[in-house]
Amino acid sequence: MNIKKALTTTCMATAGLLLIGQSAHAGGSAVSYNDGDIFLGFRQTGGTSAYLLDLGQPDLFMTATPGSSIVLNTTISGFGDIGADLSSASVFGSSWYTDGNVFFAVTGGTKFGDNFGDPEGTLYSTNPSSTPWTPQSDGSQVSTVNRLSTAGFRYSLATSSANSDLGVIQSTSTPNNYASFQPGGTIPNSAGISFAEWNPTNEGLVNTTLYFNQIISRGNGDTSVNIGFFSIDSGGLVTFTAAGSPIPEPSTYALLGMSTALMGFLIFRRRNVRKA
Amino acid sequence: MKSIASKLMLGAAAFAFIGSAHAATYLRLTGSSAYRSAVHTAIRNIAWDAAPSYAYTGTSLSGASQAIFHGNIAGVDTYIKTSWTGSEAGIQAVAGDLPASASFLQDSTTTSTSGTPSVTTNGDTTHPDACMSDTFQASSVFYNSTIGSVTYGTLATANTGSGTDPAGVVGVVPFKFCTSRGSVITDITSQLAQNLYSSGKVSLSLFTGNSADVGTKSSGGGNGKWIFATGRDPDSGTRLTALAEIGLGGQSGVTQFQPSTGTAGSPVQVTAAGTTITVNVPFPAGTINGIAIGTGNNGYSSGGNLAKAINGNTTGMVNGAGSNKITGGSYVAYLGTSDADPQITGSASTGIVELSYNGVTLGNVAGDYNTSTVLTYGKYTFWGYEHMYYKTGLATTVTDVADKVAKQLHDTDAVVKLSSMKVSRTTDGAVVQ
Repeated sequence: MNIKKALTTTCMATAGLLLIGQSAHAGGSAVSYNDGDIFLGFRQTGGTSAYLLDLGQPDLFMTATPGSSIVLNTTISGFGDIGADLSSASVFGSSWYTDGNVFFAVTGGTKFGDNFGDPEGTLYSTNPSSTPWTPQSDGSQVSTVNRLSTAGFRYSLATSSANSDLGVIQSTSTPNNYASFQPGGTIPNSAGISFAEWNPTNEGLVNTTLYFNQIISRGNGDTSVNIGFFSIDSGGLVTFTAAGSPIPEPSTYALLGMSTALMGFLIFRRRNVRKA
Repeated sequence: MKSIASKLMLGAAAFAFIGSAHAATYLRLTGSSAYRSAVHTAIRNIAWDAAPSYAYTGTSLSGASQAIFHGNIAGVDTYIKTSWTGSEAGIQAVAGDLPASASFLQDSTTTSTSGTPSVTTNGDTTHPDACMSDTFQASSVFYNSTIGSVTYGTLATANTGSGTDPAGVVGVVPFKFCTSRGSVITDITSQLAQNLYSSGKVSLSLFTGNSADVGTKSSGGGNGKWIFATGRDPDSGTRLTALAEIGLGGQSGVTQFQPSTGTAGSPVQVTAAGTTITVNVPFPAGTINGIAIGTGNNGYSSGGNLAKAINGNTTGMVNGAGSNKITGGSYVAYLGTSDADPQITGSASTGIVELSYNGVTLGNVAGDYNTSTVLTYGKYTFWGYEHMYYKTGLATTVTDVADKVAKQLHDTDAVVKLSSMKVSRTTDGAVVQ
């Protein structure tokens, strides 16, 4: 088997797996929220729709092998083809990935402690910064989980979208929709910052990478750590990479680009010198 | 042959006559349990041709969860049936054309003009026509929405006969924050209430401002200086009004605890006054009218039972385990006056204690809140409007009866009449002006 044939076979197998993972979503099925669940949310500045998925308990992210990557679309049952939902005209439109107005965040927590062993008030949140969020008091963190459960209750009243058994398309005029908990949302849900907790925001544009923190309240451990990072591609594939591998900073990409350009220039110059 | 045809026609005519003779008008009313006493009074006081016969569950008509009234109104055989399930549940049933979450009494129930108590002949599952609500329908989850496979439209408002008062508003319903027997707190602010119902428990020191009252937790039980939130389930208009009033948002989730006996693993909800509460657990999850309610977001289905539950002994109750264990503490609950007042004795050692709200005490004014000037002049703001809504497209024979009840409440029997109020608000929790 030559390399080209092997690559073709691999690509077809991967596509097949993706299709299996993303197929058979009739839409309109019941969704549910449980204490401790993690949400993946999207909203658009000035938009009329928000999009929310319940990713389940944090176990998947907390037990991932350090440095490994997980494509949520094919790992989480019912995740489906959220790219089709996000790009639909009734949600964010075909330019959702590049228009600079669509943000995402991953957020969750437990009020009373969960089966995973997290103590009461433990929060999970994306973070645009590499410095983890600062833990708050037990009561403050439980209050944030209460906002999450309010969003969760609203989510659980809906039915799933056409392309994802977990995805729910919300109108931003509906009380307690996901966007109302983000900056610019309604008081008291956001109070100008994400879930009235993360100042200024736990969001990032969809084409950026966000760190993911586990935050244990002051009275229950007082720790906050990066457990990995999330990224999304233009087709709506969502990847979680567990901490343990270096997390590329924008400056890293810039250095890499500069060094590649420098190497190219040196090779070009050496060839020209030889020709001369 | 002709003779047979004539007989058949006569028989048909007789059958039709019998049918028409039994064609009664029915009004089935559900919704707010906080206003049931006033509504039962109003139903008895509308213009029946003669005093109606009636029956009810439980031992008193004012606190009955179901009742049936039967008599003639302007010569028409009329049944009015009530089943009180909470304002939100009432709006859900009427707007979604669903059965009430508790059935109505059957026509065959034994009634009498002096009122027959303690009847148990439930089983009429006919969908309700109308509901009483402590809140505007626009504040409800069940307003111009589709949840599951059910679409909830906009309800019609009853005609009270007033050309100036808000449509469908029959009166005012006042509420109180109360704390449990033995509690030392005296006041709650809207900020503290937001904190309490978001986080579920706060240190006593936030209520007293005393450094000695900082709550602690430990494997030994901590110092017990904690205040716990408890309250109603999401079917309750009292809950929606309270959450709107304190600024948390009417449809917000809450973190509430359940006063219990038994063990933390198998708690039994307390529903009787004077009970020794042994464990305090996050309110167990449940499903209400097909909607899942998460742990901590659930609550009591009855305001009366909630008031009785916090009228218990909390000294030895245990919350949590290990290093998070708390022994003792007190509860705060939001209650309708008709549920709260019977449990208020004026002494923290024998009954629950009414809290002032933002520094203002409503007080127990012998049941007549029309005379409470802190309420009627706007100093005390924990109140809402009581509404009567009904299905669109109801027969006028039914809406006529509903409107008679609405007008009777509006003019005479409301807990607080609109004519007593010198202030108003535009919606639930809005500024009182």
